[in-house]
Amino acid sequence: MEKDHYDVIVIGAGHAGVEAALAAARMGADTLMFVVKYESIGRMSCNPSIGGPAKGHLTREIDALGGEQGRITDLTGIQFRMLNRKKGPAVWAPRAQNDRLQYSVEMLKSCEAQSLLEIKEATIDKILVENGKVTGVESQIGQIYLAPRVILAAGTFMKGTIHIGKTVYSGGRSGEPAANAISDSLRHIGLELARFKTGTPPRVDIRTVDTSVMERQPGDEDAQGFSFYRDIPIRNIADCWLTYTTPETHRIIGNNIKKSALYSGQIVGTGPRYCPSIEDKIVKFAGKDRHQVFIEPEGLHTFEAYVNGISTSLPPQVQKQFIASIPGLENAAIIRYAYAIEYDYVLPHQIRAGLECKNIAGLYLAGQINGTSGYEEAAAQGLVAGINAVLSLDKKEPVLLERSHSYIGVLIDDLITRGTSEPYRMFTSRAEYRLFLRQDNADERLMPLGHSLGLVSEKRWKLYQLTQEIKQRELAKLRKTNSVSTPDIPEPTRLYQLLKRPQLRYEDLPQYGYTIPADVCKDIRNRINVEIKYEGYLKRQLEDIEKFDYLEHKTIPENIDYMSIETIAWEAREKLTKLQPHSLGQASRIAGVNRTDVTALMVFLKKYKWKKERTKPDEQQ
Amino acid sequence: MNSSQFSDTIAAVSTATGNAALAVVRISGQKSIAIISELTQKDFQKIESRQVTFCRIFDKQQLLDEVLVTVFRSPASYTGEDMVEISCHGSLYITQRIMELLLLHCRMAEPGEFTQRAFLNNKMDLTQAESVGDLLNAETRKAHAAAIEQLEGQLYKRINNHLKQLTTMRSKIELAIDFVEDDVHFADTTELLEELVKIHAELEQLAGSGNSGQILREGLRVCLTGAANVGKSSIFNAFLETERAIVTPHPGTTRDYLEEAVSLDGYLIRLYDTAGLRVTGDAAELAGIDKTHALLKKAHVVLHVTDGQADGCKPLLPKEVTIINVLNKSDLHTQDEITDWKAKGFIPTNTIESGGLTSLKSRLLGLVKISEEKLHSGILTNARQIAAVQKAVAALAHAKISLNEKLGFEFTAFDLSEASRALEEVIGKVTAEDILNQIFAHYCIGK
Repeated sequence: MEKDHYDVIVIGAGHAGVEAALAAARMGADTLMFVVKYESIGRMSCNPSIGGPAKGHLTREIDALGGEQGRITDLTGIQFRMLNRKKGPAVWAPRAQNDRLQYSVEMLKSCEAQSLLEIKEATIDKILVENGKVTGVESQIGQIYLAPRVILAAGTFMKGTIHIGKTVYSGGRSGEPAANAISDSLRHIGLELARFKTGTPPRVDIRTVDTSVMERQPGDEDAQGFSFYRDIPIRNIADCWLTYTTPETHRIIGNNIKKSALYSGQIVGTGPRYCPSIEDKIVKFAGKDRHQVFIEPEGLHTFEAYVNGISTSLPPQVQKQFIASIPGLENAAIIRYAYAIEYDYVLPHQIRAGLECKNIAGLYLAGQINGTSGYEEAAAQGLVAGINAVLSLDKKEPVLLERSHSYIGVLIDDLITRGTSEPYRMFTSRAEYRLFLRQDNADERLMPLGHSLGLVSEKRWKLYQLTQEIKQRELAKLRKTNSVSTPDIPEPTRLYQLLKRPQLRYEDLPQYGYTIPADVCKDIRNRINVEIKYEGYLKRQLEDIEKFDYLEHKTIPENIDYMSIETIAWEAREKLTKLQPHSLGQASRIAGVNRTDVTALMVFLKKYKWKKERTKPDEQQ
Repeated sequence: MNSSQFSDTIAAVSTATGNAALAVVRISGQKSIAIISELTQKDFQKIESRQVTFCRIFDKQQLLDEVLVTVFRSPASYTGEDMVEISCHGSLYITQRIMELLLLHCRMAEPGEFTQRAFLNNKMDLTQAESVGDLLNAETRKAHAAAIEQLEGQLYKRINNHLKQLTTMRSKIELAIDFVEDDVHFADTTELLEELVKIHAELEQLAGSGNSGQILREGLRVCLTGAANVGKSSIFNAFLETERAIVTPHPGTTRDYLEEAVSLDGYLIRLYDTAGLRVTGDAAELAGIDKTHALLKKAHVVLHVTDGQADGCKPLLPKEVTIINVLNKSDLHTQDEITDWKAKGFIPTNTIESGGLTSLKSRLLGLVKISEEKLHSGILTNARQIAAVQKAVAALAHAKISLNEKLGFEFTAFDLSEASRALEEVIGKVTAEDILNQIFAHYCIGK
């Protein structure tokens, strides 16, 4: 007989869904994951790439916490680069081109191999709720599955509508049906929804592309991957190519602008400003005479290539015409046309920092459904939702990641505190504590947590600890050891001080009489250099973090009647009532709540606590 | 629980503003004792609580005031935190300067904040505490009034302008970091350094000129101009005879003008008698005139004197300088004539009758008093603005180094955001979203 009762149900098996399901199962929960189409588990529906500034940081953090994205990226990557190498270490950003099919296959393998995780192909129509608590889900064909925790990671599938020119049809992404009923089910249980828009560019057959007129973009020679302590060999076996649009491209698009779904008024959802369609670029930046177009291979076993930079909702004939006006693409055979997609998302002020809905206990939301975009942003939320669903089953406090310690914390806090007016993408500038939130120390920031949750294997944990031991040992030695006299630095100097000089690195120390032990690998050398060279800045940053943490650790009890606190400004009272912040820190970041309001709230909470204590144990004395 | 739970240290002038013999400035928070030790160059870590200690406060190696300092250690203090009380002389200038120095190390207390801290650190019982909410409410409204006053200030506008420049610069750096793969113009180090040097210099100048106690401390600079023989020197001498002359530390060093200082109702007035300004071909005289022009530009007030006959060239003056037109030898004019001159804005004077300078003196006194009133109303907000600018200047100096040494854009960004945060204390917050908005508005982003 088919099982119908689980601990955790995950709806959706994209980047958020798989992380949620894997984390839940790994933490010991009996987990069921639903996918609309079985073979598209972990599918990269847009560009075949992971990482970049801030996004790469997220993936490293996911990996440190025990998530899957970094591992699969390393396994299936075909080109690796480290962006921003000319800038400082805090913004170095790993990025990979992946084999799209392979990525999906490896993710499917991980899921299938995971004990306690069951996968079903089904479209879910209804979230079942009783007395404000989630009880399970109902599928399109009337099957009911029960679970006290449900994680919804529906991506762009909710009321997904695809636009190509004047053609409009229902779809979750190209070739897959939308999930329409679930939006109504969410509204029915009291959630407020809105609409976003995003788009994807065309794909072409690379055999029909003349790359000889394009600029070659190879991977790095000494490439670095995403995952910590797994020793996955990194491959650099594919090139990307760069070409540009021409005045002719712009003329064609300009002449046909009214045929674009975006410009005909057909699309109502808000799109992302950082990822505009080509028609948007041409209209809004009319003075720019060319735009970059990247040709990115989709994989090793296909000739399909992703044409990055020209996402559009123009009709197919116009797409064909303008693509042919781009140097190297004159004879390009289009495999898939570009399209824009509109979809429902849930206004994210309705969820808590643990990603559980405020008004429906046991229902968690993760990924694009919360108004984000990007695989990395989605996976980060999936992981957090999976962890917290299981923790709450075990009656434990949720994991609330802080802005001061991770990009994942910045992501979630931004969403629930400030909301978003466009599909949210992570940027390093969003992180106030960027100097501390580096991709190189993601393990130091998050692996202890991942390990304590049971998501990091003992083998990796031992390697992590070994790295820390060696690093600490070396730092201690450098603080005690003097250099030998050399022509350039005659006075014996502490090696630690020596490394503060901009031109000197740990690797140069043998010249000053220091023998580098064999167990100090490149990764550790890099950590030592960063920690010593930027010590002054890191100290200043840590001081800021200390201040930040003070308010962050002051929690606010639930069910405070903010409207009755007269010392708080009216606007702030309304905002606090709407958002129900979990800490004074979060309250202080809400737009419209100023410092005086926060102090007033502090005073109120103190009195509140006193009164509570007085009404209870007064008699004890 | 550690009673000193607040991570930031606050300071405020606790006595009412205005000229009193003494004023009290209070500091509360973890860094209180370290801050007073730095300001007085005396190690207060070694001095017992509640012991009154005589010491000197220095401002850039110069003695600012001799004060009495008492340290209260946590939890035995009003707020429950480490606290310092400074009893200084009650002059507005001194309290303002002390606050400016303190605010380089801590922040200005919000209205009612000392009491709030006392409450939150369990230094009050519930009945006392019930009134705290009301107090806070009332104080907030007052603070709001102060904020509006501040909004109209000239200094505020300038700070706001610099904050905008900083935001633009930050968005350029963030563009280069977060959108490295985009095809847009990225500012290079040289370009950024040029901008940075400019903002730094302007803010540095602002930090210097923002000193509103200057007139009270250094005196009102009054320059006499006008054609020859209209009686400039007579007025000059009459001031010296009727008012108490002060030996000034900076006597006039050239023969091109005379300088004397007098005390008018207790306010310091510096008088300058200049060479007459007239069209001349004589080289030696031209040199004297150049010096006079330079002097006039630094004056607070120019007394342009005429005797009703000769009217010398009116000098071109900066806007900030107040010009007072003076009709001298009023004893030689009829009452009707004088009424006419008065209607044209002239102040009649003569050095023959006793009381012939009374109108002029009260006009000058009025000017000094206005500057004092300004100081009264703006004392707290002004000290905060000046400290904010000084903090920003220090952060920008860091930014110049990090940019010069090519430490990495994110470090310069950190320095700039620190500078920005200092100015935001006055203006209001610039968020990450503001910076991204600027990027999206100005650059075509999107791979």
